[in-house]
Amino acid sequence: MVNNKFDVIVIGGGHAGVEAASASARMGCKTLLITMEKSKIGEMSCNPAIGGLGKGHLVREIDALDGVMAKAIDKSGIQFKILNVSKGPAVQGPRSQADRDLYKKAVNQFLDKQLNLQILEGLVCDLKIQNKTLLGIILQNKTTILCHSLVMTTGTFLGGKIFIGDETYEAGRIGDKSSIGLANSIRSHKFPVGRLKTGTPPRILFESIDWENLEMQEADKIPTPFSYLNKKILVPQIKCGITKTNMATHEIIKKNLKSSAVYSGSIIGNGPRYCPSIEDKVKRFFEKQSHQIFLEPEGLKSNIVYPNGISTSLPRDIQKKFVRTICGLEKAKILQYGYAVEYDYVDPRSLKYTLETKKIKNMFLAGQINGTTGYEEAAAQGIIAGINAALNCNVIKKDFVLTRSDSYIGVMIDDLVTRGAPEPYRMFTSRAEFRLLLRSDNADQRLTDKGIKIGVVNEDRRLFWEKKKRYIKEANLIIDSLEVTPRILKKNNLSYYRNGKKVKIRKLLSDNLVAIKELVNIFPDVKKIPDDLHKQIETDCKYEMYLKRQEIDIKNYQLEQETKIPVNLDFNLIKGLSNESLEIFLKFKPLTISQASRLPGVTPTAILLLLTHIKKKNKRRVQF
Amino acid sequence: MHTIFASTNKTISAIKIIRITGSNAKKVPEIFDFKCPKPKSFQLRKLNYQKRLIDNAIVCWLPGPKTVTGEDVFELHVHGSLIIEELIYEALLSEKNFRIAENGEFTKRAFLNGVLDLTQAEAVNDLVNSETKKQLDLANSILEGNLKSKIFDWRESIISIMSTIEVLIDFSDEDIPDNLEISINEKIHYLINEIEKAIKNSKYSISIRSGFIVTITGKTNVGKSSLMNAILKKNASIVTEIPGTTRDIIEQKINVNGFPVYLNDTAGLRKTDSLIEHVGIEKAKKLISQSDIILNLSENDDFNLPFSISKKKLVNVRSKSDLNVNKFKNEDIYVSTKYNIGIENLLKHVSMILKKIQPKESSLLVNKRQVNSLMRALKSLKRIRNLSFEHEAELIAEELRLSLNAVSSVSMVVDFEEILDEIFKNFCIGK
Repeated sequence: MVNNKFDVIVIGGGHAGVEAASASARMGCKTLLITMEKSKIGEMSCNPAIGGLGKGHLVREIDALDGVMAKAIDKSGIQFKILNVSKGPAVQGPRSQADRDLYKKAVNQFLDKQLNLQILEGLVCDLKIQNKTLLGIILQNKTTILCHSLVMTTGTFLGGKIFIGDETYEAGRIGDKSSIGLANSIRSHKFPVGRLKTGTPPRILFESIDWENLEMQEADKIPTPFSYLNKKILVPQIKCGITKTNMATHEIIKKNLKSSAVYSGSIIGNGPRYCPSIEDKVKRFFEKQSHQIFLEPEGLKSNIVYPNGISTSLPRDIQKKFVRTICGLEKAKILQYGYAVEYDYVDPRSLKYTLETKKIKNMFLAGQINGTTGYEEAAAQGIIAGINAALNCNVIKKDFVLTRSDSYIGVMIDDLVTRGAPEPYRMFTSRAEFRLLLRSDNADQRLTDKGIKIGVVNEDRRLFWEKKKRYIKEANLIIDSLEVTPRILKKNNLSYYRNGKKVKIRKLLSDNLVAIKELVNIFPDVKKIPDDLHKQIETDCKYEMYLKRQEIDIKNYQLEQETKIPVNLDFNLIKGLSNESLEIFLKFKPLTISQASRLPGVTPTAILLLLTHIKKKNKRRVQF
Repeated sequence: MHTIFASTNKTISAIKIIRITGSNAKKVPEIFDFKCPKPKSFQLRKLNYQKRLIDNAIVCWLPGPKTVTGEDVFELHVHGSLIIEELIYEALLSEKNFRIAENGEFTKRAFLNGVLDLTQAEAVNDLVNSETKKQLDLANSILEGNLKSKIFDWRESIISIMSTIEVLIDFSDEDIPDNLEISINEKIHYLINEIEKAIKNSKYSISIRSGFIVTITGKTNVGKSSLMNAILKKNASIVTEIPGTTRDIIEQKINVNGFPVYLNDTAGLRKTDSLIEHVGIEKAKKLISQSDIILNLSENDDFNLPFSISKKKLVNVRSKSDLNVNKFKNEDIYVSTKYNIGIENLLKHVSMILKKIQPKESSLLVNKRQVNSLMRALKSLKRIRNLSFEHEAELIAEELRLSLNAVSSVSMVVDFEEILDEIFKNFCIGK
C-alpha cells in the first residue's frame, strides 16, 4: 500500500494536480497524488477545449518545461485551430477542442508511466501543521501521511456549492462531493479566503440538434500540434456548429432573471467578467440582439454537445425553454442542466512567487484555489508549484521563479501574488507587457534550458531541444553572413529596395520582404536551414527591431525584480512612510521592489523610501 | 525621510521666513519651547533656544497632507537678522533627522507626494525665475495644471485606443463590431495632429520662457551700436565713427512690453579684408538666421541685404532720422538715437510682431524635456500609419504602449530613479 512518508504530496487530480505531481516526480521526488476519485483524474469539468489566446501560450510554456497538457491534447484534440492566424505570430494562439475521454486517457497514460509517482484514492480532511510548518496530511480514515512538501490543488472543491435556480447543494462539481473538512482547516489557519463563482451551460443530446440548418466551423486544414515534440496530429478532426441567441431567448431570460441564482442574491462570489453567464450578457449588453454560441461535440463517439456561450444558473424549466428558442435547438434534449458553482479561494497575495504560502512552510497552492479560471491557468501554476515543492525537499533550498519578461506563467503568477484575484483570473495576451517576446512559437527558446537546469525536463526532450537549438544557432549564423544586391533580388523576381545598396538578409526578413525559402536559389547555404525552422527564424527576425527597443524596459524590470526586499524586513522601521503605504506594505509584504511598485495604492515616494531603507541596510551588512 | 528646512534669503532684511517640512516638523514648538498654535493660524510666539530668547516671531502650523509639500509644514516668520537665523539653524540641526534643504527639495517633496506633477514642479522654478509678465502668465498657467490636464487627455485617448486594439486581439473569436478600425484611425489621426501642433507651437512658448532673439543688422556705420545703447539706456556697445567697430556679437537681455528679448548688436555687413571682421560678419549672418526679429538699419533707402529673410521677421528701420525728418511716410519706422526719437515706437512695433507670431492655439511646452518626450510619442504614433490592422495589430499595440510611456513621461516619472535628480538639480532656489 502507501508508504508513510513522501517527498511531495499533491492533493487533487485536476489539471493543476496532474502537472504538479508529474513535475515533482520528473525531478526525482517520491510523489503521492491523492484524489477523491481515481477515474476523474484529468477530467475536463467545464468546456472540452484546451488553449486559446494567452491560454495557448501557457500550454506551450508548460510543454517547454516538459509538462503533460500539450502532449495530452495532441493525443485527444478533435478540432485544432490557430486563433488570430491573420494577425502577427506574437498574438496567435493554438486552441483545440478535446475528446473528453481521449484526453483523460492520455493524461492517465502519462501518469501511469511516470516513475516515482503513486496515486491514492482518498479524502484528505485535515492538515498536520506544527510551528507554522506543514508536516503531512490526515485522511478521512484517520491515517496520517507525512511529507516534505504539500501541493494543494483542490479547485472548486473547497466549500463548493452548486446552484441551479433556487436549488443549492454542497458539491465541488456536479455529482462530486466537496471537501468541507479541508475548507475548515484552511479557514482555521486564518488564510485570507474569499468566494468566487463560475458556471457551465446545459449539455445537449447530439441527435436532438438540427445540424442541417446550422453554419459549421471546420478545423484547420493542417492541425498544428501543441507540443514542440509532435510533428503531426493523428486524431480525426470534426466540425462544430455555430448558432446564436435571439430576442425571444433574451425575453425569456430577462423575465426570469430573478430566479437565476446569480441574481437572486444567493451567490456572493464574483464571477469572471470575461466569460459571463448568458444572464449577465443579456442584462449588461441589453442593446445586443444576439449572442454567438458554438455547439461543440464533446468527443468523437460522444453524444453530448457543449453549447459554448450560454452558461447559466436559471431553473431547469427556464433553461429548457430558452434553449429551445435558439435556431437548431428547437427540439434540443438537455442531458444535464447548467449550473453555477461558488467556492472558496485563497487570496493569492498570501503566496510567494514559488506558490508556497507565506504563512505555512512547505505548503504550496496551485490552480483554481488561487482564484484563477481555466485548465491552462491551473496547469501552469501546477507545474511551478510542483517544481518548487520538489526543490523544497533539497537540503540547500532553491527557488524556481519565472518572471514577466520570460513567460506568461511569470506574468500570471506575478499578477496573482501582487494584485490578487478580485474576479476569477484568466490569461490574455494583453496582460503581458513583453508580448512580442513571449510568443507561443518560442516558449522552448525561452524556458526549456531553465527546465533542464532545474531537472524537470526528461532526457528525450532535452536531446530534441538541444538539437533544435543547434539548428537555430547555425541558421542565424548563415542568415547573418549573407548580403544581397537589389539587382540579384530583381533577377530572382523578389521584392527589393530601390536604393541600389547591398542589404543584409536579416533586414529583408525583418521587413517581411522575402521568405527564407525564396533565398535558396540565390544562396546554396540557406538550404542547410531545416524547413521546419523557416517560420521560427522569420518570426524571430520580424520582431527583432521591436525587441531591441524593449530591451531597456526589460532590463529596468529585471533590475527592480532583482532588488529583493528581505523577507523579515520590518516595514515599520522605514522612516517617513505614510500610514497608507505602510498599511499596504504590511498587508501584502512585497518581495521585490518591482512587486512593491505594482501594488495598487503605493506612491513613488513610498518606493523611494523603501529603496533607500534597503540600500542602507545592505550597506550596514557589508561593513560588519 | 529627513525633515528639511530653508529660509527665504541669506542676507539681512526686515523679516525672513523659515519653512520646515517633514514628518518631524511637528517638533518645532518643543524645540523652541513655545505652545503650538491651532493649525492654519498665525500666532505670535517667543522662540527660545538654550534658555535664551531668540525672537518674538509669527509662527504658523500647517499639518499635512494638504500643504505645499504634502507633508507637515511649520513656518517661522522671524526678524531678518543673521544671528537669529543662525541660532534657529543651530537648534534645528541639533535635532535628529533635521537638515538644510537642498536646491529644489521642497518642490521635489511636493512632486513625490503627488501635490504637483512634473510640469507643475518645473513651473514652480519658472515662476520664481520669471522676469516679465508674459513669463509669469505662462508659468502660472502651467502651475494651475493646464499642461498636466492636456497630457492627461492625451493619455486617456491613447489608453482608449489601446483597449480597443486589445479587444481586437484578445477577443477576436467573439463577435465584435467591425467599424472599430475607422474610429481608431480617426483617434490616432487626431492625436498626431494635436501633438504635432503642440510641438510646432512650442517654439513660441519656449521663447517666452527663455527669450526671443532680436538682432540689429545693416551696413557698417548706420548706427546699430547707437541703437543698441539707446534701447538699453546704457553704453553696452562701443560707438565710434570708424566703420566696422563692432565685430563680435553683443547680447543683452531686456523686457519689451512683457516679452523677454535677447537684443543683439552685430558686425556691419560689408566686404572686408580683415580676418577678424570677416569672422564677425559670418557670426552675424548665422545669428540672423536664428533670430525671431531682425532690425535692419539704414540711413537712406537702401535696405538691401546680401541674403534673403522672411518678411514677417524683418523690420526696416531708418536711422539718424534727425538728419532728414520731413521725408518719412506714416508707416515708416525711424529712430534718432541722438535725440532719442522713435525708440519707444520701435519697441512697440517689436512687441506687436511678437504678439502677431503667437500661434492661435498656444502651446504650453516650455522645455526640451517635454518636447523630446512628445517627439518620441509622435514617432510611435506615426509609425502606426504604416501598420496593418488586419495583420499587425500586435505591433500597433506595441507602438501605442511606447507612445503612452512617452506622453506620460511629460507629467510623471516613468523611470523615476534616473530622471528625478536630473530635473530637480536645475532648481536654483530651495523653495
